[in-house]
This record gives sequence, C-alpha cells and structure tokens, in this order.
Amino acid sequence: MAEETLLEIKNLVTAFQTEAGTIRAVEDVSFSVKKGQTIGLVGESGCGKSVTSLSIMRLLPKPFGRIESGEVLLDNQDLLKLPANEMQHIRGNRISMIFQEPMTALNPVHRIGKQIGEAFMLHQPEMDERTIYKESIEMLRQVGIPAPEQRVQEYPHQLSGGMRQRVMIAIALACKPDILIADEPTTALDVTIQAQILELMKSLQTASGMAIIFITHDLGVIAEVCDEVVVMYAGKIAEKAPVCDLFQSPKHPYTQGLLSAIPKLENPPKQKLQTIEGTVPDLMNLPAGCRFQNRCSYMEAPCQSQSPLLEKVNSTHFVSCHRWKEI
Amino acid sequence: MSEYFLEVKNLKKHFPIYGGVFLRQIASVFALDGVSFGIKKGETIGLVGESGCGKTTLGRTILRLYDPTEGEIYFQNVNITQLPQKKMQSMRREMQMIFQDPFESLNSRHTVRSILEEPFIIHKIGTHKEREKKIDELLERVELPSSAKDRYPHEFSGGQRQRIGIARAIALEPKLIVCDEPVSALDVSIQSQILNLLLDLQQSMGLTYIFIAHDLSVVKHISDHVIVMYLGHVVEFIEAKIINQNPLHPYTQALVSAIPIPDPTIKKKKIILQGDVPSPIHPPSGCRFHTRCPYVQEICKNEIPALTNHSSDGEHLVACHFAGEIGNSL
Repeated sequence: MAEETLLEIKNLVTAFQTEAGTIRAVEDVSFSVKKGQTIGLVGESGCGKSVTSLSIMRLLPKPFGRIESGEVLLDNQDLLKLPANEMQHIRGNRISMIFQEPMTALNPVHRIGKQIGEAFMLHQPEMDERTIYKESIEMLRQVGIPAPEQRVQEYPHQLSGGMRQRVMIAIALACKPDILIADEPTTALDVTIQAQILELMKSLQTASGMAIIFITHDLGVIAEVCDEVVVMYAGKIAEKAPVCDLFQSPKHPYTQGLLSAIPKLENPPKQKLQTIEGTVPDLMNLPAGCRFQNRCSYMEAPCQSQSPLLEKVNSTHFVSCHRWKEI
Repeated sequence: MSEYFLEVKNLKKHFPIYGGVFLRQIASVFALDGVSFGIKKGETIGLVGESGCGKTTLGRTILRLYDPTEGEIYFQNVNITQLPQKKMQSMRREMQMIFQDPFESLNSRHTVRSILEEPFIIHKIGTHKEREKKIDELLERVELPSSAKDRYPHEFSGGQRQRIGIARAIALEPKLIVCDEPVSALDVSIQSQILNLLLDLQQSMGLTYIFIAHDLSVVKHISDHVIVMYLGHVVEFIEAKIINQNPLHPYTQALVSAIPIPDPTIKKKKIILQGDVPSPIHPPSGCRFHTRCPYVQEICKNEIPALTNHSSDGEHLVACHFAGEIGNSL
C-alpha cells in the first residue's frame, strides 16, 4: 500500500444556523486519508460523522450549514476555496458518495440505466450516448447484478434493498473516483445482504485502489473493513488510531465504554451489559471542558474546565482525554 | 395441562392481495406458514430472521392484533385463537407489546402522564389519585424522573422514549411482553441500558418475553431459546447459549457467520449467501431456503423438511433434510 496522503482534513469546523442560535456540529476535526486505505468514522447519532462527510463534499444544506474554518486538502489543493463549477468536477470524478437509504437516494421515476448514465453525462461530458449505455451495463456487471442488460431498463422499486445499494455503488464508482465516502451503506440492510455488500466494496477497492471513508455506528463493521478509525463524540474527535490498536488498547473512556457495551456472540446469554450512563449532551448547551464529562467515570476537576487536546499516544494513535495515561 | 405458558400450534397467517377489475383475491402473502413452539413462564424466546421472514407478524398474531388464518394459540392453557374481542381485551391486560420506533409509538400530543394513565383508564383500574401514584412508581421503575410526567414525548431522547414505551407496557403488570425490535433504533450505548432494564424487569416482575430482533448478538444476549425464521417457517429452535457453537441449519450458520465481530484480529471465514430472500407471495417449493442454500440437493426442492429434534438432552429442533450432516465450519 502506498503511503501517499490523498486527502487531508485540517481543523474543520462546521456550524449550523438554527432558530435557537448557532450550533457547531463539527469542531476541530483533522484526519488524513491515504491512497487505497479505508478509514472509519464511528460515533453515535448526532456526533457529527455525516456532517464531516458532507463538509468534505461541500454538500451542506444551504443556507443553514456553513464551514466556519479549516481546510480540506485533496492533493494539496484546498477544496473549500474552489469555485462551485470546479468543485462540481471534483465530485464524482475524484470523490463520490453513497448514502444509507438507497430508496431515497435513487429517483423512483427514472430507469436504473438513466441514473447511472447521469453520472457520466455530468462528470464526463465528452462521452456519447452509446458509450454511456454500454458503460452503465458494465458498471452493473461489476457490482454483481445478474442480467444487467435487463436491469438497466428497470425502475428502483423493482429491485431489492441489496440490489439498490449495489446500483448506488455503481453510480458512485461510475467515474472511477479516488475516494469513496460511504455513509452507513449497510445500516438499512439485513446481515446476510450486508455481508455481500461489504465483500463487494472490498473487492472493488482491491481492483481500483481507491480510498474509502466509511461512516458507521457499528463497531463490528469497522473492525472488519477499516485500516484506521476515527471515533467521534459530540462533534469532536475522541480517539484516532489504527484499527488493531483501537480495539486492543482503547485509551479514551468513551471508546472503552462503547466496546464493552456491545453484546458479543461468544458471551453467555442473560448477563448484564456494561453501560455508559446518561445521554449525549445537547450541542446547544455543551458543558465547558471535556464533552464526555457527564458520562465519564474518570471525571476530575480539569475535565470540567479545560477541553482536552488530541494528544499523541504513539506515532499513529491519538486520544483526546486529560487522564488517558492513568486509565 | 401443558407445561407451556404460551403455546403456538401450526399457526398460519396469510394476507390476501386483491387485484383485477373486480378486486378479487388474486394471491396471498404467506407471512406465517405453520409455526409451532412453546414458552415456559419467565423465559425469553428470541425471534430472529431477515426482513419479511414473518417475525413481526408472529408477534402480532400471538397478541391477536392479527387474526390467524389457521392454527391455535394457547395462553396459560386457554385457547385464545377464537376469543371474542371483549374477552380478548381483558386478556390483553396480561399480554403487552413494546414497539420498535419510540418516535411513532407514542402519541406526540399527549403528555407522558396521559400516555401512562391510558392503560388504567381503558381497563377501569383505580381512582385518579391511585393512578397518579402508579405513574410515579412506573417512572421510577424505568429510571425516569417524576418530573417527566408533564412533558411531551418530543422532549425526550430515543432511549428515554423507549423507557416510556416500556413503562406503558408494564403498567398493568402483564405476564407476557412481545418486544418488537425494541433496541434496533437506538445507539449502542443506549441499547445496552435498555437491554439491562429489560433483564431487570424480567427478574423483578417474573415476565415472559418474546423478543423480536434482526441482530443475532442482541437476541442471544437476552434469550433463553432462539427461534430462527425464514420466509414464514421456523428453521431452527435452539438454546441461546449454543447458537454460535452448534447451529445446525445452514441458514443459521450463515446468519452467525455474517455478523461482523468487533475484533479486527479475528478473521473468520464467512459464509456469504448468494441472492436475496425470495418473495413470500411466491415462496419456493420444498425447503424455503433451497434457492440460497450452499448444500442444496434434489430432495430440498420437492419436500418441505419437518422440524426434528437433534439433541439428546433438551430441545434443539432443526428443519433441514441434512441437519447434522452438513459442514459446520464455525
């Protein structure tokens, strides 16, 4: 695997304007994606993982969402400073995205073929219609859809959930992007179908060498597909580490809590699970200091006043906790 | 007298599909197609399977929220299959339900007080004062502050809302609760809180649960026995503690192996099933699973396998022609 940094996110801050005031959904998030690597963004609802990905694509809902500061560097070029038409060229060709709910992401009144073709028309306008049609069929074949010649003529409702997600992947990969952002691509699917989709994504990655930013709340999926993991909590990075480090020696109390809260198949039934008490703080009135303090069993005076910085555990493992050395 | 608290015999539920010019019945959805099992008092039975396998239909038919097409349901040795609505209503004091989506199952225009008071009003229990006291007790039981009474559902987080749903279900001190995917809409850290609460309530109130979920590790965690369903059929009835070690049906084996394990050092070999679940309108002939089964033989396409016992001690029922013979690669 080439150790070449493809995408770098530096100190990203994204805010939303609401009736009650401004909330910062993402605050000071930095990470980088290397070529061919899969990076996992994990966290609970509202932790800012999807907003991070929308910020990278510059697809925040307007006019409420706004990137306040930070940089998103793709090959050292800041995407946040690009004019809209150049950004349009980056989307699809360099970075593309798949979403959680394939039924809402696909247009129900257009045939599958047209929707894949649209990706080519928008991002590679030099292609003629016949090539587009051929390429669309080829894409469907690549994502493992049987009888693609017939499927291009069908509408989304004629396909099952797993098939629709395959079509979404086909659209996203149509223009052979360098980076694929997958926002909970398997959450709406059954486990046996999820296994199929994960397998497909892995084999497509091996074939094309693209990088994947994989957003999910399922730590099992993270363990299976990712090389590196970013754990987010209430808009900030709690911990960042290579996947084996994170699961074997989690440093942040939140990561530790999450890992012990999952029911595991090898454990005997009817045992009490460990829990993280309480709930995620409201982004409108965040506590001063560490955002995890109200649920943390290691909380001390400095946690209530000072925000912890992302500290280095070793060259690849970072944690944002005042007391990580002791716990 | 049967030893079971709840017994289901050959239960079928077919939903008609109407069509054509005269809106005649043109087909049926075979949601449940001959399901039998029994639960002992204080036990939890987990129902797992993929979307459309009939697990929710089974849960609802047991409570008679759907009328069964065929078969019998015995609750505490009373046949409730044909019970008239009036009698069924008083029966429902003892059987309650917790729903998946705590956002949709609570009336957003009612305060928590009126949501929790309603079961008492319907069943004409207690005076206003007594009910008020009951509501306080219920909130304490599900670990919510009593100040929650005057607030509306939207003021609570998903986990707290699920607690309100649970409080409503246990209000009349039922004996059986059907939990329909109670934790699938929740985050991991909240999910574990709710699972612990359900376990606590079961111990303190002696509840019997039917726990429906698609996540096998959650089901295993809370159940004594697990029923694996596929397209309206029970394919395996197994003790929860051995489900990851000794599943005998190829579908259960595939389900177990498809669960992503939160440990990157374990690289297990997965059984990846091809294709999708067939439509329950046109279920395959013979064994329902034969279209996706890696071990399919000629007999599977023609004959429906019966549920047979495969354990010397206790119950381990499997519906497969080749149970015990096919590779258990786990």
